[in-house]
Amino acid sequence: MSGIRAFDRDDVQAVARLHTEPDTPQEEIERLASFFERTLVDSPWADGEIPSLVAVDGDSVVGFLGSYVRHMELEGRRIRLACSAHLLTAPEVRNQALGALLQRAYLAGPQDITMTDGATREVQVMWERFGGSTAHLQGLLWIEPLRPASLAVHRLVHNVALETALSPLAAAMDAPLRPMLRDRRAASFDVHEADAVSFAAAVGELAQAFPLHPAYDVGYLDWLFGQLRRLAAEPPVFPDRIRRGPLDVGVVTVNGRTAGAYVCQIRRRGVCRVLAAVCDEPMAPVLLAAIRSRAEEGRAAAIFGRVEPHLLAALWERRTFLRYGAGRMLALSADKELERAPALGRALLTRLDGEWW
Amino acid sequence: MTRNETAERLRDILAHTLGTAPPDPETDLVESNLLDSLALVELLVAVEQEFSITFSPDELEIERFRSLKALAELVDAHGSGS
Repeated sequence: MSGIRAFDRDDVQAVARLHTEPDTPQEEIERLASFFERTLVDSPWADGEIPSLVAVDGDSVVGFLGSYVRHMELEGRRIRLACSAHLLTAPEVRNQALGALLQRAYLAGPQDITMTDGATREVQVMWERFGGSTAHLQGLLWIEPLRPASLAVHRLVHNVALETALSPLAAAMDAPLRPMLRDRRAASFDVHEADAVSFAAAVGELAQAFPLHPAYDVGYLDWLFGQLRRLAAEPPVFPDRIRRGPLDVGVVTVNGRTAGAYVCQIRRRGVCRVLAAVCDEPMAPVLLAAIRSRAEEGRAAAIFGRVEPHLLAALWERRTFLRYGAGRMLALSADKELERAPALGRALLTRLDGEWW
Repeated sequence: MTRNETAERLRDILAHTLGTAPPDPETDLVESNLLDSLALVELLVAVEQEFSITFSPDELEIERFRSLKALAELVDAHGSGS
């Protein structure tokens, strides 16, 4: 039998092998298999009506598309957002257009809106042909350097021991630059470390500024923060150039009132990776200053985040660089107003709601 | 609509989306490198629009899109009368 069917727990090993090279050590395959099982099968928001999909040829899994369902609210109405990820086909069937068939099958699901936020150009073209649209702004990555020499070492040296050995030299090179790069914007705020309960409460309050926003529950956030902590503690599941740091979740207040909330991974001498920066637009300067203060405390070399429409004006006022390369955010829905919400700045959709790994 | 009419309309769609019409109804579009992912997307969208049908996920097998003949059988199975 060949065709496309729902992914289940028994496919985990085959899908992990599909994502690795023939000579990949078994330990790495097991780590990836565990990641897929935890996040696709055991997630509190895993949804049997919107499953991940596998393409099969006989008994072999030859293609895969991961499904991450998010609970959202659109002007008070609960909706389901389906985020597609990990699209891959086996080398021996790459001329058989299975990727397009997997995408088409997924887009036909019962979700209210489908999105992806790490799409390649080829996937973008396919989605647009299927009738979807691109939120171009969210394809931008913002970078705020704090310690440029340390950042260069972090990005160029992929050996932790060598990076550590070079760190005193990098720190010496950074010292004269630090006064020039300090945050000159005066902002008064307090940062409170948050758990799933306080983060959910803060987002519940702040997200009202956006017609489309996540409807987090404490159980889901507890699970999600646990996964993020685990990813930071283990060797990378998906190797890339940004090594993850410990999780930092916080709520920012001004004069006792909630002004923003954030989720970051802050790696000493590495990158402070912003996964969520939640606030309404007028409070973005304060929230970005608070994130910077946390990155400084954690001795990060730079802050990386995805540009979101509500952050854009505040980012423009800071010493940030923009780079097109965070992966394209695509959306498709039968409700075109809903589909265009991310591009029009009417949606609170952070990395936490997309490809957070 | 007769099977021949379906095939003729599909031949026109294939000629437009692939840039060339298959020489034979049984020509393997995948093996002859005419049908890659992007071309398949174009083909799916064009066929669904032309015949006012929507393919179900169960129908999304490459074997059903591999030749003009297979595609005509798939479209006919929808009983399109447009």
